[in-house]
Amino acid sequence: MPAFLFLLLIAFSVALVAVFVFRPQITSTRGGKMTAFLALFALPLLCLGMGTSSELDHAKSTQFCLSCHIMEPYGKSLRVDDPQHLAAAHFQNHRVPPNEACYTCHTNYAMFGGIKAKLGGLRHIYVYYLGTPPAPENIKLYEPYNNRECLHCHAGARSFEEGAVHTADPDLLPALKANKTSCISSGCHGIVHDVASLKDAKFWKEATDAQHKSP
Amino acid sequence: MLSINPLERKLQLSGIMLILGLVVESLCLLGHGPIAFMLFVGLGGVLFAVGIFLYLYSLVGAKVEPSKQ
Repeated sequence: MPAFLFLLLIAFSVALVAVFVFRPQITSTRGGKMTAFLALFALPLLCLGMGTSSELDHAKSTQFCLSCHIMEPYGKSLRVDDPQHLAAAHFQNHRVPPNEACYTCHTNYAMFGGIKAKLGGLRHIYVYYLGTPPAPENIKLYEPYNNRECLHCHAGARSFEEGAVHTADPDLLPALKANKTSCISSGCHGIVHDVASLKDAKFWKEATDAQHKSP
Repeated sequence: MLSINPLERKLQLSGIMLILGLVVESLCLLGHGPIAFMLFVGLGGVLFAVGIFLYLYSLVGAKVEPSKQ
């Protein structure tokens, strides 16, 4: 729902509730009781549900994740001009939705993955504002990155199943699919964010709309 | 401003809580970042819960009018 319409709904709800704040005697009639149910129960619940959905959706956005200062180097790492950098290659080529880049890779695709990601986010907020946040280059994953998150998209893809490097060793593909060998192990796709070496990196500048239009 | 009638007073208080919750929600929707999210869930959610609970409590506590025969 467009934000403008949603704010309009909230304004309408506020106006309706205000009627009962200033004229509560309306509820002495049957129609007043029914309107009170709408104004003081149904509409607020609807606004709360839609607001929660909107906020949870916004919490998945790249902008949301990078709004914390500590994430700035990770945001920069998405624009490194080097196809070896896994995160940058995915982000720049839209292999992940650019507006949900962080969430796409850093959410467990298991049953409660989304919920776990949200709970983890609450912990991050606690540490960031009330605890001692680590330096950006010292931030580590809670557990080793599971190949499942890569295979969610890459499994069955020709470049993965029939790639020369992947098929050179017949045991490699089964090991990758069983999560026995990590996709991001050193020598394979081991350069992910690499925030420690950003100062030496070259960055990709996304073309603006004006540049797209000019011949 | 609050009515002397207990039922109406509960409805008014419920309405005030809900208005505050709706205002907090609209401000949080305009904001960005985790603070807006936390305010929405923490403050807004509590205000909504208190407001709706007060309304439901007012229904439970309302005296039934005797039917006219």
